[in-house]
Amino acid sequence: MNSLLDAVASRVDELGVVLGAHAGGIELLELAGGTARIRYTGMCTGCPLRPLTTVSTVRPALLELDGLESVEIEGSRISAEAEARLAAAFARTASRGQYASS
Amino acid sequence: MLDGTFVFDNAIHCYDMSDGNLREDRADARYSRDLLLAMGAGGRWAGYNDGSIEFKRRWTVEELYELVFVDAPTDMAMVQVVPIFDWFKDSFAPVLTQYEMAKRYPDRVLFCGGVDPLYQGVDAALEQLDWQVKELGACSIKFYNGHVDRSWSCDDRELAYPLYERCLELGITVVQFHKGIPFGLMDLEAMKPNDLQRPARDFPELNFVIHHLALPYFEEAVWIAARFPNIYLSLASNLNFTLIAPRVVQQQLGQLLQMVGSEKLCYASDAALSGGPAPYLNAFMELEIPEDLRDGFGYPQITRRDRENILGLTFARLMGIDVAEKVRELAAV
Repeated sequence: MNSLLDAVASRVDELGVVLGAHAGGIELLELAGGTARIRYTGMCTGCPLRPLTTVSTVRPALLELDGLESVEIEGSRISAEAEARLAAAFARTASRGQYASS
Repeated sequence: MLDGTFVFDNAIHCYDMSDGNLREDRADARYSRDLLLAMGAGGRWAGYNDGSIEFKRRWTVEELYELVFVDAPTDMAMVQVVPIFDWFKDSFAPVLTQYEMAKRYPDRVLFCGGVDPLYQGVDAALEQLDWQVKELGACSIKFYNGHVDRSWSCDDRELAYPLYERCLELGITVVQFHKGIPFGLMDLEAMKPNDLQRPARDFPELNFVIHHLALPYFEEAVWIAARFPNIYLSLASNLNFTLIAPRVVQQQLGQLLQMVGSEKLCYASDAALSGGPAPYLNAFMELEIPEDLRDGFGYPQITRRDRENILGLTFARLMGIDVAEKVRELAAV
């Protein structure tokens, strides 16, 4: 039994439930070494906002798993520069309520 | 092999652009043939465009083989019929010539047939399909729906659907379409890829390949291929522009990698009209997405896997070719 594969598959299933809220979906194509290859399905297919979902939700959730080193998305990806920009923007606004008036 | 990469050319054509193949009853035949020649010349490289090779003639299978397999690092290719009868008596790239090439080089060349439901009529086109697949071994079919005055729509349920149904009955799962890049004085609008959406929905067992990125309808092609799991894009002759207009190719490729993915992109040279593939294959291996496009448009850098998919693996998967086995087979010859 491959415990990392089980963990990744389980996490992908959980993410699929989240994406299913707007009729999207996700599936695990393969786990090779420490790299998971992922494909979006359903309404996520062809959606130009897939990179946002990848950077904000899918990749962080998967990289929490011990032993998983990288996540590749089939059919859609953005530059390292754009991913870094998105990640930095999310990090700046990571704490909710920071703009609430005191 | 090119730097260890399997090269499967999605489309080559053994043309007949000779004076003898021009229709005498069409006043625009010579002009349109010459436009085709000029278009090919525009995409050719030094060495193939210096007047030493005559393109206005009937090519032989041996000459095309040399251009694609001896002068270039191509491993496999699909030779495709061009069923355009607008100006040519025996079509632009005749059935039997393409068949002859596949028969002559069975280890490396696959035969793609072609029919037209208006010029031939639906019944005759269906008979042709039977003959080309059962007798000649066609493993894919090419369609050209745009013509000067007899264009048809790919989502026409009476003209096109019977052909798709027959393809499936015959075991054909890959159908291909010339889109964009109009020939002669055709209406540009007939070359839009939009009419492939309904067939792609209605025939999920069929895989549809759009050629030439449907230029100038590039955005449409991208947004369609990004959403339909059974629609693929062939960069047929598009990579020829890597050295002529690298910025254009970088922008197109960047958007394709961002929106569609290299798993659905195929390389095609369109030799012989476009000359020999070697120079632009080498240029493609060196092509990168520059920093300003990565930063400003979010286009990803092209990877080794992308190059492998585009140059051969995507189309090999579509055609059911075991690449590792094929490489061993070719090495043993």
